[in-house]
Amino acid sequence: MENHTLYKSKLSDFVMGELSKSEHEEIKDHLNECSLCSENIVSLKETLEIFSAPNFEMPQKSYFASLAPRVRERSEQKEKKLILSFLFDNRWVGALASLLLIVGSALFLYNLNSKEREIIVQTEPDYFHSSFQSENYTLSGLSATLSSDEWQLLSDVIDDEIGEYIDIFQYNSDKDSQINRLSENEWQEFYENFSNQNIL
Amino acid sequence: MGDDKFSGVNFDAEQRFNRIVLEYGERIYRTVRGMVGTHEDADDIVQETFLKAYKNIDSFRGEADIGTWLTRIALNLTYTKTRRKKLFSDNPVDDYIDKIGSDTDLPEVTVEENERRMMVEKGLKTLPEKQRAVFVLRMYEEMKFKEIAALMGTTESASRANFHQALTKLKQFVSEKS
Repeated sequence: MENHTLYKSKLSDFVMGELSKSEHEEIKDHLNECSLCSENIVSLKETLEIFSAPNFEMPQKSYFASLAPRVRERSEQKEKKLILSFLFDNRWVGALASLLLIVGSALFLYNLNSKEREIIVQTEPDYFHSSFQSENYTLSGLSATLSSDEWQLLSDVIDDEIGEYIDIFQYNSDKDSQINRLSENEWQEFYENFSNQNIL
Repeated sequence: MGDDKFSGVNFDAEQRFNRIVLEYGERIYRTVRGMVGTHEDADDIVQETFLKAYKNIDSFRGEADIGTWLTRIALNLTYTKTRRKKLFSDNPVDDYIDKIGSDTDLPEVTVEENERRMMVEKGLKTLPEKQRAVFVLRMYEEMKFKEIAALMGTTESASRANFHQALTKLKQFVSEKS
């Protein structure tokens, strides 16, 4: 019995047939003497019998025959998915949305700023309205922001109406009430200044 | 102009891949199926295994046995997937009954065989993944411990010990159920 622990550790190998012939015989002799090990062997054999076969049926041959094409198809699908996921990657969408938000905000602020410098040019009896942007011009403390196109437009109006009655107002979008009418002198100064700078 | 349809196709690699799938498909399926609960999960892992092989077929230079290479891929995928998705449900009996109805709808089996399969399913579930892998490879693939050790990157004695621990646990499990 002194070798019981040693033999016990080899019982698995014994039932699996993995011992040398001499070891196998040694264990067999021990089993004749040791009821504990004998019972153990019975349980191990019973367990191995239960687990000797798997718990499933193998699929039919057709499953394996179709495996390679299915793997290729899966590969193609994965590649497509990869491209789509790249295109619709949340990070890209997020970055694009952020960019649009920034550009939109910048344009909004720019327009807001431009509105404050809007000039309305009116002629009588017909009214001519125009919004001007860019290129700041100061006249008698009044600020005008006009684009080159708008300058051209203004020039045409002035050419048509010169010598006649023309009113130019400074318009403040935040303070509608504060529309200042230019006096004839102011208008002359305005026109001369523009002429001097070869704008008109 | 040439036949554009087949430009860029490496016929050698394609044919080689077909042969590999036909030769090792069953073996890989058996190993994976022994590790996971359902045919669907096994099928998914098997396809993924061969997909990895398909992508890397050109880089495989035969340093190791191709079957060992594939089994290693399959086991790694199995470990990853079983950890991510608990393939064995917490309710194995109900789960198994469901599976008997859907998955193993194959040839009719006796009540005793059903009970045995249920026992195997539940028993394997009690094993840690490494012990389960060693047990499956030894029992169902009839691999030698030396081969299992090479495949799992461990020693022969460690594989043997894993198997014995698994067998002891399963014996305990069977005696408790009997």
